[in-house]
Amino acid sequence: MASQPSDAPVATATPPAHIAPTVVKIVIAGGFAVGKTTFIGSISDIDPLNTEAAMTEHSVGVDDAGGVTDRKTTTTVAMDFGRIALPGSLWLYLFGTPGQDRFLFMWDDLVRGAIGAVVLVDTERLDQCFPAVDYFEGRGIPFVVGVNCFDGVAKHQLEDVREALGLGPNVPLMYTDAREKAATKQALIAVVQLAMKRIKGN
Amino acid sequence: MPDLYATQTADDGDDDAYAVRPYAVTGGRVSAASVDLPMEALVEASSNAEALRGLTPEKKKILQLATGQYQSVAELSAHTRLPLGVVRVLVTDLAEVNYLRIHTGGTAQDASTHDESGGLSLSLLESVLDGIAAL
Repeated sequence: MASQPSDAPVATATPPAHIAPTVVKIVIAGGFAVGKTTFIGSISDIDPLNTEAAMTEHSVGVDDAGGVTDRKTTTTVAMDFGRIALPGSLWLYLFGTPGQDRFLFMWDDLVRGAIGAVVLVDTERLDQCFPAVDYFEGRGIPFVVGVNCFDGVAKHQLEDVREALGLGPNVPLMYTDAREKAATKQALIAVVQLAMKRIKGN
Repeated sequence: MPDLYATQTADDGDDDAYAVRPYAVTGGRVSAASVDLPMEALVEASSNAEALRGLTPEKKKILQLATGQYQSVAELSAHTRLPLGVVRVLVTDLAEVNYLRIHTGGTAQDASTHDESGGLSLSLLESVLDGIAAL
C-alpha cells in the first residue's frame, strides 16, 4: 500500500458516536423481466435503486503496465436493489441479479456473504431460470424458488415446476406474487429459514 | 508522473458533470483493497472531512452523500451514477485519508455476526427472520 504524502490533508479520525447498522443481503435472481425489481420494490423502504458495473471483457490477465494492446469491449450491467431496515439496527439489502446469462460471472461479487437467494420463475419462460438454479446449486448457496403468478393465477402445479426444473426435494418451492408485500415476505422468510436449517444441520 | 487529475481538480462547483470516462476518474486504477469492498458495506463521512479543497467532484459528491447518514457502496454508485467499481476505488481512497469510514460489520470477519467458519451466525439469522416476519 502506498504511503501517504506528508503534505496531504488528513482528517483526524474521531470515534464514532453511534454504531453502524449490521448489514445482511439476499440476492433476487431469475430471468429477464421476471419481476425482480417489482419483487424488491414491494417490500423495500426505498424505491429500488439502480447501480451499474462497467464490464471490460477479456480483461483477465491484463496487467497494470498495459502490456496488452488488444481492443477491449466495455459494456455496462445494471443491477437493481432495495433496502429494508429491521429492528435491532439491521439493514437488509435485496440485490437483483443482472438479467442475462452472460453476466453470470458477476454474481460471485453479488452473492459473497449473502444469506441466500430467491429465484423468481415465470412458468411461460421456465428455461430462463435454469442458469440461476444451476449457479446456486453448484455453489451450495441456499435458495428458494418462487413461481411468480403474474395475473394472480397459478397456471402450473408446483410439483410439475419442480420436475421441469429438476429441483431436489429440499429446495423450497412456492407461489409468489412480486407485487404483493405479503408474498415477498414469505419468500424472504423461506430463504432465511433455509439458511438457518443448513447451519443447524452442520 | 503527470497528474491525471489535473484538469478535474479545478473547482468549478459543478458536481453533476461527469464528462470523463468512468475509469479516468480513478486514474485507471483498480486496487486489490477496493475489489474486496462489499457492495453493501456502509460508508460514513468523517465529521471533520470539511477540507474538500482539491478533491475531485466525484469524491466530493460521495462525501456529501455519506454525511450524516450511512450509505452503502451500492447506494453511492446509484446516486452518483458512477459504476460500482469506480465507487469502490474512490471510497477506498477516501478511507485511506480518513475522510470517511467504511463499516463492514455484518460482513466477513465480524465475530458478533459470523461463526468461526466465516458463515453468518445463527443468532444473526434469527434476528433477520424475526425482523422480516414483523414487517
